[in-house]
Amino acid sequence: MSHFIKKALTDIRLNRFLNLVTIFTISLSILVVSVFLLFFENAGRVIEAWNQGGRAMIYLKDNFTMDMLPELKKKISSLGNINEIVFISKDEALERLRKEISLNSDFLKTLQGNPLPDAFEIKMKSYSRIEEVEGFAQKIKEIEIVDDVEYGQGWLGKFLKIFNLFKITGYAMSGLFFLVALFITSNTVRLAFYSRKLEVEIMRLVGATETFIKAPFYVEGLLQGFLGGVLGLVILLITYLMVSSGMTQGLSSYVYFDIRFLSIQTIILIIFISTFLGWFGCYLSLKQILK
Amino acid sequence: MIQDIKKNSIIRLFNVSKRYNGKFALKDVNLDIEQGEFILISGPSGAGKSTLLKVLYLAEKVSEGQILIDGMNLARISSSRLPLLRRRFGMVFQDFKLIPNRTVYENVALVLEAAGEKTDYIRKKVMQVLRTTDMDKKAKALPPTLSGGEQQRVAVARAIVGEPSIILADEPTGSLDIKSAQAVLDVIMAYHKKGATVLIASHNLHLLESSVRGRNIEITEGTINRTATML
Repeated sequence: MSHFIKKALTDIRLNRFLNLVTIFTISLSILVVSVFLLFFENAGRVIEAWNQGGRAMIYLKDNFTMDMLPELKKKISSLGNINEIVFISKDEALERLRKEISLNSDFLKTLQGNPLPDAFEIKMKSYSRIEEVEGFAQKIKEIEIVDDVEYGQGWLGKFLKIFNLFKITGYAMSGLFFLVALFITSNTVRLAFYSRKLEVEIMRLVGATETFIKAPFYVEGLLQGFLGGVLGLVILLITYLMVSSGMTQGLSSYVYFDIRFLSIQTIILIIFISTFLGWFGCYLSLKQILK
Repeated sequence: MIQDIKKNSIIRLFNVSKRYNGKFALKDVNLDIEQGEFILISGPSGAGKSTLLKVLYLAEKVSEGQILIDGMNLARISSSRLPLLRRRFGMVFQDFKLIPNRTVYENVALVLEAAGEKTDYIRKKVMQVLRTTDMDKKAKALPPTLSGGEQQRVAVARAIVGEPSIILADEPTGSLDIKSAQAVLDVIMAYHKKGATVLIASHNLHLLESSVRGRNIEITEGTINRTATML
């Protein structure tokens, strides 16, 4: 094995330019895939966080009376998927509002009556899909006394739309770059093979097996894939460190915004995929040349 | 006919023909070569000398007939066993066939690496053979920096390093001056004296005929025209 690794390293050194182009192409492809994975991982965490601590407000109509409360609470609870249900009367809601805005607010002094509705604040169990939340909200809305249900559907819907758009784009771009990298890798192996045609012919004449002849090409492909993957991730890490610190500082006064780098499992998966890419490119090329 | 194999025959050809685009390069060749024999294959250019060697190491397949190498029928050799057959041969070519970007040492070591020998053995054996061919001082040189004679000595070193039982040399002195040619032949002859069977295809007879006991097989238009004993 050490012979093959030594041989592959020598060949990479001798065909430096060609190998650098291949490694760089693989790294570019890996970078594109990794950017999408970085987005998916972080977006996934946002969705997961929302799912686990998801709150919803159920606003009731004006004709609600307190004697309806026990039965209504029972009805809502029976729909399931609720961890906690708390009734907030219109008076309590106004009191909260007063505390939140300001004790001496002129706006609240000018109010005649209480414009706020009676409501339930519910803490939902986790959902795997937004459609489930929508279905649940719809069931609550169908209760006659319920006026509206608010569960952050506006921003969540938009976020999920962007998320899905990125997902489709991510798949398409990743697939495209994967094919490009595969094409480049297999072409590099093909060029390397043709540049060493005499060497291969001599190896056969002196009794080398096909495995002995092919192994350095495979090792070269694996090394190209591995190095391309590592380089792609290093570029992503540098970009991440530069962009995320600026972004976090800029947004910290408005919202808690925590972008994390790829998990160890994802990093290992990416390096495995890029190494496989190098090997597969080599396999396709040699299969075609030696058929 | 195949049953009639002599006890110490190492190479036997039975009615071997080779055609390229319908034209015979070898026609109905029958040959029996014994272990340790020296064979000079002579004849004009294009007579079929190189083709005869090529069908022996399976660079070309015969169109008709059969070849036995040490009892092994070449027609029945699978591609996976072909490398094992090739390791029985040491081959020398007119154009040397050395890998230009590998050192002299690496070119010679390749045979033993391909055979899966251990590094220590390879180092020891390669240096020993390079000393025999007087190329040990140029072990780290690349072939293009060497003269034709030196390159051919490296090629001969590569041919004998795996201690094959048969040496096939196709015009080994064809592109060399007399002094270099003699040096190359001396190494081959020294190896032959250890018991190896040697087949040399050459139209350059005078260097050999005077110095070796063996057979001269003359080929004309793909057919064995004459067989004579040398010395």
